Amino acid sequence: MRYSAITPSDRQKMLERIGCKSVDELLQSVPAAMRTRRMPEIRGPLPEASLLAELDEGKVPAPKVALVGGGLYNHFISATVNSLAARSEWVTSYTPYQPEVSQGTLRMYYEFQTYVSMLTGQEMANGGMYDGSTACVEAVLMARRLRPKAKRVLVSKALNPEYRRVLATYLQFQEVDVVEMPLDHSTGTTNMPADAGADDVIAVVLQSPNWLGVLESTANIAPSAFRIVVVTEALSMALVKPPAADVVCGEMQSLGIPVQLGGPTAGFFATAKKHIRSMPGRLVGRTLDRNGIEAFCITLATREQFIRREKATSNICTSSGLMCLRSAIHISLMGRKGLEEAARMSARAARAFLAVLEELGLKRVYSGTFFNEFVVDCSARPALGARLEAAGFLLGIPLDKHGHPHHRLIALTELDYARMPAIIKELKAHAHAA
Amino acid sequence: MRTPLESVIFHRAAADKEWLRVCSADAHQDSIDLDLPLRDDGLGGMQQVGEVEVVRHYTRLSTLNWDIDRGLYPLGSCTMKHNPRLHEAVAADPAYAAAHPEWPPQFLAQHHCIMRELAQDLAQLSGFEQVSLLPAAGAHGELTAVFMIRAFHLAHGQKDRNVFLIPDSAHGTNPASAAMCGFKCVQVTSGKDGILRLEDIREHLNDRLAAIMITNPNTLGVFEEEFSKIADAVHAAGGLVYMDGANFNAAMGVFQPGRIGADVMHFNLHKTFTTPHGGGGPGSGPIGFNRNLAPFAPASGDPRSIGPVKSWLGQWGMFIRAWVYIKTLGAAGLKEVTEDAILNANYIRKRLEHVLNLPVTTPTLHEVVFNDKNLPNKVITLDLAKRLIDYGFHPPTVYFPIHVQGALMIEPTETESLDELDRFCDAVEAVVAEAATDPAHLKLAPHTTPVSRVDEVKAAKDLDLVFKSTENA
Repeated sequence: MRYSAITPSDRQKMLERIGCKSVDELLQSVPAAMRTRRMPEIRGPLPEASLLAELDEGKVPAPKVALVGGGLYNHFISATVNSLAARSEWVTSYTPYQPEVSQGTLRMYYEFQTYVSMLTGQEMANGGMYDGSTACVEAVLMARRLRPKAKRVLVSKALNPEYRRVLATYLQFQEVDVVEMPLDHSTGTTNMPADAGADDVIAVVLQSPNWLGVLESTANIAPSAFRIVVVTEALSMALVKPPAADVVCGEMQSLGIPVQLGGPTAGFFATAKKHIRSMPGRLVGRTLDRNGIEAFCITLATREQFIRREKATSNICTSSGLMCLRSAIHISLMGRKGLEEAARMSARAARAFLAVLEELGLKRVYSGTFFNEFVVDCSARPALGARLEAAGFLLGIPLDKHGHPHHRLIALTELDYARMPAIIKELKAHAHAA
Repeated sequence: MRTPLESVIFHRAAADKEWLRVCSADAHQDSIDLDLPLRDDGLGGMQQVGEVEVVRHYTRLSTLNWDIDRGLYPLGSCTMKHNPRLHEAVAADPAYAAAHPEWPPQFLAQHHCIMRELAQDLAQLSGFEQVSLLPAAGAHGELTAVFMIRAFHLAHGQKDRNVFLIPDSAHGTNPASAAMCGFKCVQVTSGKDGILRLEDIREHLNDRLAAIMITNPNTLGVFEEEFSKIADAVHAAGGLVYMDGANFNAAMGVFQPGRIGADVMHFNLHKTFTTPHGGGGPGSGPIGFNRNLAPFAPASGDPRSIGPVKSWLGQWGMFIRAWVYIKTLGAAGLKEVTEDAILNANYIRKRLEHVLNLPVTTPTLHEVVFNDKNLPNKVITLDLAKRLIDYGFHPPTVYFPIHVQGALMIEPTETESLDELDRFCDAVEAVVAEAATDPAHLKLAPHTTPVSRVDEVKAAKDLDLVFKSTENA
């Protein structure tokens, strides 16, 4: 076996020391009736080069241009992030329960918490969640702990559909009604019900920029409401502060994490200091060691499952440390000015591309302010999307399965800014041929 | 050679430092007016650091960590095994790292093919009929199973089945997951020999029972020999059996949970299937289940499905690593993994059973739990664990499982050499000897780490979770 460090003679020596004739003797505590009788049918073993050759053969060329977002965005990631985050000390270490030998990871979590606090404008942030969809769920569950008697959760129709489905899964067995807040079909913003601040409302959940790319506001929500703002395009926060909220949570993928088919990524979760003890997830605090030297450790662990068991604020254990590290390195490299620049480039690329689509007779569907993503009605050129796709150019996400046959959700980033002339040229070539 | 102890990055930040430029400015696009409500708070006080300092900083921070590439990481029930470099290289290939789940299916054919084969292989190994890869981590897999169990009972008109039986040896995530779905957790006590007996749970076999959660082998490393008997009785009482698969490294090719009575189980790809732990994730927690629970699974296509527990497809980046691992070893190799893991743990047990107290003497598989009962001079588990660091070893899991007082839980895994195991056992022997000769020195350990014992009480009392930019002024 490739990764065995035990030689046959070691094995013999060890068995002798233990006082056994064979490894099988060590398995005797598994009653015969429960033992596996036949080997599982599994392909392998494959040596390294054979395995890589098989993978190469199966590869399909990636799209040339993919203006696809919808909650996961193709942003720039420096080689420096990939290189630093690949160090063994980050990749192969465990959750930092032993602080003396985990100060690297612990300091990184503290930095991540600080960066999330800066980006969201909230006082406190945790050390990350699995992803944006579960961070959103955890925010609603926290609101429910704070308002145990309330029964309704108001959820915007423009919350990412993946997130809405995950939220529905978690809430189906609770005595909670999920009430959908409808859209203003002209602006693409959420219509806020007048009773959002009522006593029986657990929380109001909004996404900004929302799933249709439009910025939302919480200005018209009664101050008594518990406002949860979800951000799936984290880079937007470099330019646009998230709306005032009790929790700002979402997806960190845009900042240093590859899309990798939607996972793993990292969720973030930020709130006011007063909610800290109800918060889910891991928290790292700064303190001192025995000699008065600055030291970091996991803190308020009495909220967590390994201490508190069934009374924990969440069941989360292994979370997304390595992805949080990637974000922390990315943000450190870019700094405020770099993030702002990338955000401006993303927003400008989206506007430049939209202008060309409009030249071709396509129209933006919603009038609300957008960051880097928007919905276009392609009914003026119904064949354009398929024609582009055949050439490896993905004109956003078709919204037909969401009930809008000619609508496409189109996202651009600073990487598209960098190659805008080529993108436009390709688009026009296919548009004119169509 | 010692570098100064690296603090957090904010001390290196300044408003006039360089930043990373992504691409050249484009005059045409830059003439576009941005009709956005721009934030005016200086991005919460964020500044720049500069590339060279970022590299120095994260390199120095990394050196403050222990890691499996450096040596043994004997945490019990955590399965800290070698993480092959090959997996990292494959997962970083843009063909896999850059794929987007909203791309049309023709661009994702290979990805789906790999996911299908991984699910089949996990089903083959575990004896379950089906596998869902979706859950993001072990506890998330547990929660998914708990949802499915709730949905199963509701579909059978059993809404009053609200009790989960959980042995005292269980991981904390078990009761936490059950409670998240509103179940009442009842702790059951295993026998002095560390084995849960049917007799121990018989009083709970009634029409309130929803399920039992059993870790097998349990957190003592002991195989639950009455597993099938308990499962039969639970089923007869109308309940279901959840198996915590954290210790699946002891099962491959030896027993199949899906064929000995478990209805559903989670895998930890970041334990058994060697995807890295990354300082606390990402993990991946697929679940295996049998026909009775299949309609309730996420994405089952059945109207009784609980629905998705995570966005998109799950932890793809972990799937491809686990797939490469399984293909690299094949069925025979995976069986050897389990055998060597059990051999290594039993070797440590044999070498240390006269050095430390072994509270449960029942035969064990892939891990072993000692405690601090016979240590002299009031030296406790924590002291021993901390002193091991000075000898170049990461401490074992301490004070878990909670039903063993002063527990010291050791899981070496199969990827450790005999030489490494011997050096570890020598170190434990040396520390125990010190407990008699120099307990004071031991009580202050570790002495060789970047920081010494950390004031955790202060951390919780004077909460400091976010850097204040005024500190730099």
